[in-house]
Amino acid sequence: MLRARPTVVPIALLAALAAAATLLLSTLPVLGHEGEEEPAIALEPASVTAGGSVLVAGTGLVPDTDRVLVLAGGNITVDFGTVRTDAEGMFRAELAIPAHLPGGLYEIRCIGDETLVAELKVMPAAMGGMPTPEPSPTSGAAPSPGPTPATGGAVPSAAPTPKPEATGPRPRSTTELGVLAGLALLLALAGAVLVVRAERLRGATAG
Amino acid sequence: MATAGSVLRGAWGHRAWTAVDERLGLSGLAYPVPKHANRIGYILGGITFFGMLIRFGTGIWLAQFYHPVPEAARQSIAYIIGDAPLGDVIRGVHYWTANVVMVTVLLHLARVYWTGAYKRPREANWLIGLGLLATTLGLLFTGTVLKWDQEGYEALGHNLEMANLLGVFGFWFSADFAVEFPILGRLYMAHVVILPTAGTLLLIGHFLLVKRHGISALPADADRAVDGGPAPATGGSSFAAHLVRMAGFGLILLGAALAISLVLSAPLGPRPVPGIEETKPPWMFLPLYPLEDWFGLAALLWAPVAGFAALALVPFGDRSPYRSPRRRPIWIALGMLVVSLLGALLVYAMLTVPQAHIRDAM
Ligand code: HEM
Repeated sequence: MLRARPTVVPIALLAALAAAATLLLSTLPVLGHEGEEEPAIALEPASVTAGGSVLVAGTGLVPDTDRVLVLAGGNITVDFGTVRTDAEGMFRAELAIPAHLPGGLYEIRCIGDETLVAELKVMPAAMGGMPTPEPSPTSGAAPSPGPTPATGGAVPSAAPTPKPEATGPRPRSTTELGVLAGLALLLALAGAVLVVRAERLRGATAG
Repeated sequence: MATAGSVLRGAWGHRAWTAVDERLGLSGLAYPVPKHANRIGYILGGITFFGMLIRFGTGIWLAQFYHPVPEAARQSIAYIIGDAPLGDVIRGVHYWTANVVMVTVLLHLARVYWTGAYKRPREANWLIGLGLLATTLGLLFTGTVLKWDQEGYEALGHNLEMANLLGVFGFWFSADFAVEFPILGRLYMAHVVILPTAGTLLLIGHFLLVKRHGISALPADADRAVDGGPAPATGGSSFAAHLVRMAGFGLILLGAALAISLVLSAPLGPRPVPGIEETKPPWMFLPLYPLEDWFGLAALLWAPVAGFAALALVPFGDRSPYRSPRRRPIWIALGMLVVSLLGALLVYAMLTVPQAHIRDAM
């Protein structure tokens, strides 16, 4: 039998919650999706060790138009050549930052009808911050544009990677795979034995 | 009380146990364990606990190779996958266990809800449990950002939006809070120090209260006692058997995660491109995704807040002394409604195309 109280309380609680939620949601600004986007560029990462690479992405630009990408700071200019925006007015390009660039604050400029600017912090390669965990595919070895104006419009390019980046399980020798698979099986079996025997090994039934 | 001494039968086992127990007082941790506590529904919390231990161990290994700075983070993960000793396998075990633990936490919560085990005197432990749920979600969120691939970067974008939504209270989530230190570093610290510490402290409280209250009786037995019947038995099994059973499930979990990792590695997406949104969040955050579409970014803050608040109120709303699902039809219906809604949102989110919500994360 249901008593009156336990039924009434949850219903009242639910109603109060629903009312509170509706009130809350109706007062919130509905952000929704952007309509017209402002032209902008962004860098990832915003700080890089000289010799590394940085991704620049543009959005909200006029579709199918060219932009010139330049790094500038102090009296150094590096010309990365031109990129073309796609049908949505976006582009992305990977810029190889010259290894011999002195550390400091630079600007990446995207020059077209308008000039968009993003700040890039460059750490000198010699100090290099902390050692990278693997010989960076982009450090030093990457052919990068020189730190002088106009190096012939090199199209921004991905730095060459010495070996394809692993994102799946490693290729393993049959032995290694066998040992690991055997270990997995052994663990699962040992677990199963414990699960089954825990009940049977139960000692005195005292609580 | 039955102890490991009675499980490890035989003179040697018994003497070894007595010697250890005399010095470490382990039997002080034991509490009466009823027979039903060894059923799968009642051991889900224990499986979650062993999953946490696995994540601790593998996480320490991964931390030896992970590089929490934006320019090297993703590359260090590629290194873990490709070169670090057993890196791909350990990372796989960490990742798959985290996913399984998320499932077992939710199932554990569902069991507690279904059996009305949050009722007096266990209200406080239900609230501590909610804290554990929050830390579990926090670990999954920060772990996603650490990859620093497109998915992680977009997750960070949402983190920063959260900072805006929270206004002054969102300072910690904002990149401006400590300009000299990349926010990735702070999220890393949250992942390896703040959240595990908070989780450990909450877990100690959780276990102390489980020990204090004992594991709840079966709802039907408890209800019979409410109606004037006999008090439910508190024993029937032993603490040691319970622990051994949990450990058994933990080993099965470890073996399964290892086996999966040999075939399916934990994902690592492409290098992030700022200003675009093309990934979807991991499955546990996916039900929020359509809400974000419909109501804007603010829903990302309000929906979880409302969800946690509603859960926190459950023990204080459902105050009848009865625990059987049959005797709590409204609460069971409510629970099922919420689960169905979350399921529907999840499926809907899986079927829709990613939409942009934020323009620029940084
Ligand atoms: C990291 C996550 C968690 C761990 C490791 C954990 C662990 C445990 C363990 C080992 C028990 C003993 C009984 C059992 O296994 O069912 C337990 C009981 C309990 N847990 Fe959790 N728990 C977690 C999260 C939660 C959550 C999210 C809730 C609910 C909001 C919760 C609420 C409870 C309650 C009320 C009990 C007492 C249940 C009873 O006596 O029947 N726990 N927990």
